[in-house]
Amino acid sequence: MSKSKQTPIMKKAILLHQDDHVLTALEELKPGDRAAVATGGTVEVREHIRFGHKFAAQDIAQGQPVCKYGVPIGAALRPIRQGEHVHLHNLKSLQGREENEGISSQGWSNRHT
Amino acid sequence: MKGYLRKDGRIGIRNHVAVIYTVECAHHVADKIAESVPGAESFGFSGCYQDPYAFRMLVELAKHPNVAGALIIGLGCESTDKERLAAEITTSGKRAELLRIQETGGTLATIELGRQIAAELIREAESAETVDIGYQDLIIGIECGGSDSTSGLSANPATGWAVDRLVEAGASVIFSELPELLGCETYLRGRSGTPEVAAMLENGLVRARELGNRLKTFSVSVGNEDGGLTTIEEKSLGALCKAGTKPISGILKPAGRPNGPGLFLLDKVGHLDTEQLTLYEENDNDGLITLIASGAHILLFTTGRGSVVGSVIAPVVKICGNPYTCRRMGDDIDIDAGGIIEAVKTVEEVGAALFELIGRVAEGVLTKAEQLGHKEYSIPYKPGRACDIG
Repeated sequence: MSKSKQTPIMKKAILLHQDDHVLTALEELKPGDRAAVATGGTVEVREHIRFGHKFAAQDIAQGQPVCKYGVPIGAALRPIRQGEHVHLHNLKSLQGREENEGISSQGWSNRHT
Repeated sequence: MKGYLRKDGRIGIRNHVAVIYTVECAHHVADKIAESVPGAESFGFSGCYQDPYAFRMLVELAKHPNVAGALIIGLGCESTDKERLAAEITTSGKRAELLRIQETGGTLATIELGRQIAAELIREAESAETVDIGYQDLIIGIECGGSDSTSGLSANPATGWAVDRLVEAGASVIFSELPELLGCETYLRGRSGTPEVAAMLENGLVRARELGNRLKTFSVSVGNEDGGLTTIEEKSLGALCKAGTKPISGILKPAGRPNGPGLFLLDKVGHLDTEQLTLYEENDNDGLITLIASGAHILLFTTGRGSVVGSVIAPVVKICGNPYTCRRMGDDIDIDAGGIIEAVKTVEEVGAALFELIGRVAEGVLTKAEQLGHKEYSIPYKPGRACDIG
C-alpha cells in the first residue's frame, strides 16, 4: 500500500474559554497526536494524556496563573511547554496560602496526597 | 402530578413509614422490622451520647412530608431522648410510636410488636389525602459526588440548566458544600440575591477557609485527581455549574428549610472556635441527608467517576457526565449526560430530559437507586458549635 501524505487527524480536545492556557482531552491522546484549538492553530501533544486530563495550549512560565473556564485554577510550579500534561506535578492551587507566600510553599494539599 | 397532603400542610411525593433506631444497639431490630413491612424503611443514629445535630436530623427526617408515620426503636438506656423525639414528630400531626427493647422483652418480642405497628402505620399511610401538585410544590436538593473533569462540562451544566427551569417554575432548589466552592468567591458574590444573603455568604466563606486552614486540606480526592481534576479551584468551578445561574435567594443552616421558591445555599460549615473539629460532610450520604432534612423531596446527584447511592426518604436521581462511566455503570445512572462530551447531545437536551424526569419521579416513577434498593443514610456526630442548626 502506498503511503500518501495526509493531513493529520485532529483529536478531540476542548478549550473552554478563549483566555484558557489548557485544553481538556475528550479522548485518549498519544504523543504526536494533534488537537485543534478553538482560538486558532493546533497543539501537538508531547505525552500520553488520558481522557479528561489537561494539556498546555501554549508555553506557560513558572509561577504564571493557569486559566481554565476563563479563570485561574492554579499556578505553574515549573515551566510547562505547549502539549505537556498539566496536572499535580506542575500545577498547584492558588488557594490555601497567604498572599505573600510563593507558589512553592507548602500550603494546603488535596485529600490523601 | 399527585402528592400526599400531610396534616401540617406540607406535601410529600413518597409515602414511607420511618423505623428509627436511637442507638446502634437497636439498629438490627429496626432493620428487621423495616425489611418485613414493604414501604417501611429504617435509619437512625448510632451514638449513645446525645448530639444536637443528629437529634435534629432524626426529627426533621421523620417530619419530612415523604414520611407518613414513624416507629422509634430504642434500646432503653441510651442518652438520646426518645420521648422528646416522639413528641417532636407528633407536632407535625403524624403518629410516632416508641418501643424500648429492654422493656418490650428483647429482640424477638420487639421485632414482632414492631412489625405489627409498622404494618398498621402503612395501612394508615394508604389512606393519606392526595392533592394535585406541580413543580412549584417541590424542594430539590443538588449534590455532586465522584466528580471528574467531565462534571463541569456535562453533568453539572445540564443539571444547572434544569435547576434554572425549576426555579422559573416556582420550585425551591438547595445546593451546598461551601468548602467545595473555594476559588469561585467572586462569581458567587455576584449571585447574592440580597445584601443579607451577601453578608451570610461572606461569613460562610470565611468559615470554609478557616476550616481548610485547620485541616490543611482541600476537598479534592484521589478519585477526582485520577479523573483529571488537579486543584480545588478547578473542582469548584465545575461543581458550581450545577447550581444554574439564578440569584441565591437565601442561606440555610442544617435543618432550616427554604421560605419560598428560588435557589438556596445550605451552609454546613460550623464555627471553628471549638476544640472539636467536625468535617462539614463526611461522605456523599451525609450531604444528601442534610438536604433531605432541609425538606428536599428529590435529590439530583451528579457524578463522573460513578456513584451507586440512593437514600432513605427521598429518591435520588443520578446524572453522569462521563460517557465511559455511563456505559460501564448504566444500571445505576438515570440521566446519561455523556452524550454532551461526545457531541451527540446538547446541554439543553440533557437538562430538559432531567427536568421532565423530575416530574415523573414526583409522580411516583422509581429512580434507579430506588429500583436497586439503595437506602443509604449517614448521620454522624457533629458536636458543639462545629455545626450550626437552622
